[in-house]
Amino acid sequence: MRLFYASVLMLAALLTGCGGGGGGSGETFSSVVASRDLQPYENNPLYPQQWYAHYDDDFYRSLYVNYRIDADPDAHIHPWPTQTYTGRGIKICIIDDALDTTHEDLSGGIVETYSVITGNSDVRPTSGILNYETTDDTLNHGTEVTGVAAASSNSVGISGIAPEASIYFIQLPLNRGVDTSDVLEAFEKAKEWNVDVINCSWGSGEISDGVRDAIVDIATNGRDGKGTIVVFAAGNDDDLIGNDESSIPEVIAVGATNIYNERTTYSNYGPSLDIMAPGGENFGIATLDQMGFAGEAPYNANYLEYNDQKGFAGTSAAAPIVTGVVAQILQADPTLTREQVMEILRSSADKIGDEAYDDGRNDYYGYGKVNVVKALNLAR
Amino acid sequence: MRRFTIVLGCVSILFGGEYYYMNGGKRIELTPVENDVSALRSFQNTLKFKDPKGRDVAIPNRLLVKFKNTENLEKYLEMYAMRIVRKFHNNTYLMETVSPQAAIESANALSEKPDVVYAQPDLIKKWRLR
Repeated sequence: MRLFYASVLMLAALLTGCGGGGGGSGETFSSVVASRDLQPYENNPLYPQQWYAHYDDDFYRSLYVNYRIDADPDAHIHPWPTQTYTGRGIKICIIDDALDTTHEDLSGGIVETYSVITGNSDVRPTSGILNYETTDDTLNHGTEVTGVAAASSNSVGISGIAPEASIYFIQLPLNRGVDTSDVLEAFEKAKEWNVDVINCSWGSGEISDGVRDAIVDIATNGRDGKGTIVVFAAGNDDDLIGNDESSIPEVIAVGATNIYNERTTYSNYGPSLDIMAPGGENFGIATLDQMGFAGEAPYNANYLEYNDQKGFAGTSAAAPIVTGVVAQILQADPTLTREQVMEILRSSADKIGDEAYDDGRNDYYGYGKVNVVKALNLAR
Repeated sequence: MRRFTIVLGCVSILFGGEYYYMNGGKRIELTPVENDVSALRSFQNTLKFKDPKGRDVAIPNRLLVKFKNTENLEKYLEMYAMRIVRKFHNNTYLMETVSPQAAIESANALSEKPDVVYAQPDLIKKWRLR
């Protein structure tokens, strides 16, 4: 079977040309799926640290936080005795600064990559085009985000929320300044790839008409008219979500909770907020770091652990959790429209926190925290 | 140059802004800054500004225009000395002008046309990773 998929991948590469940037159609890519070995979640060495995905009693006790936490402290990502819903066959598109495509925990999962800046397929942090400016930015963000959504479930590192999803990555060095037309090109490429769900762990705080139009277009017309699900991080300013990408009604705006099952002190809020997911605060989100000495992890680590000084936390970390859950939902029922997926997420969310929920939501938790068990029960 | 920038900033405050673009039907005022005080570095020929929230934006010699229909496209290309760089979905075009100043002026003029959905400079800015 692996040989078959490898053949399909090679054929697709020949058809689309090197770099993946050259005008393939949605049909061309639709048959391409990632091929990965799937091992039990428990085989991943850092799985106990993934407090955002499952409850591990020993881990919580080791933190001495177990007496404060809610009895329902995680996002219920992996409750199934068998790994039935892993995002298999679902195309997750990450638009972010860079991706370590050589990472051991993504092996076999990456189907297509495209750099808007160069027009070729090299999206690694080491691609020279991004080094034009002296900066401390290690371009680690995209690798961290991708790991949470879709790292492999194997014998190394962590498991992503959708460990068998097909990864499509579009590079935009957002933190270094990009043209508005570059952002339009990114969404147009995602539409060309006919991806199912797009993760955007970033935002402008002042969305332009052009970017809004591109996002609404793919959310409405993507996936052959069913609508691509677009997930945005709500922001980390403890502020009202303003005229931001995450405020678009067709977008899922994700806020962040902490290990105590409360809204983090930094998570943005307001009428546009849709849903919460763990994003970390003090205790971070274990995920991928660049391989070897590159990246943010200390020493020669390939992973960011929950307690690393430069660990991963923020609504950037919460968004790919929801993206992974969306991939699971779409695997359960690929015919669902974007509106149906959004309604499933809203109606299945846990009503956490002290704020009252009027008509099912409030401005600080949206519709509540994502619950994959309830969501899949509604989707199947 | 610094004096020029200060004067321009004062004019902007007193008279509602010399530089602006339209977004979401609203006029977004821009305050010019010198190249060396902008956080944005670019190899392109750009004009650099602060937006109303104090964030750096740069404007190159390009603009994005979405038309309701393209009946007058050729006329507008000639009228504003523009050329098409790229066509996006739904009658959306990336246009090139002779200068950043021309991009701003063309975008603002096109914004008032009844067959234009939006027209704005191809702003260069930083999107925040979260």
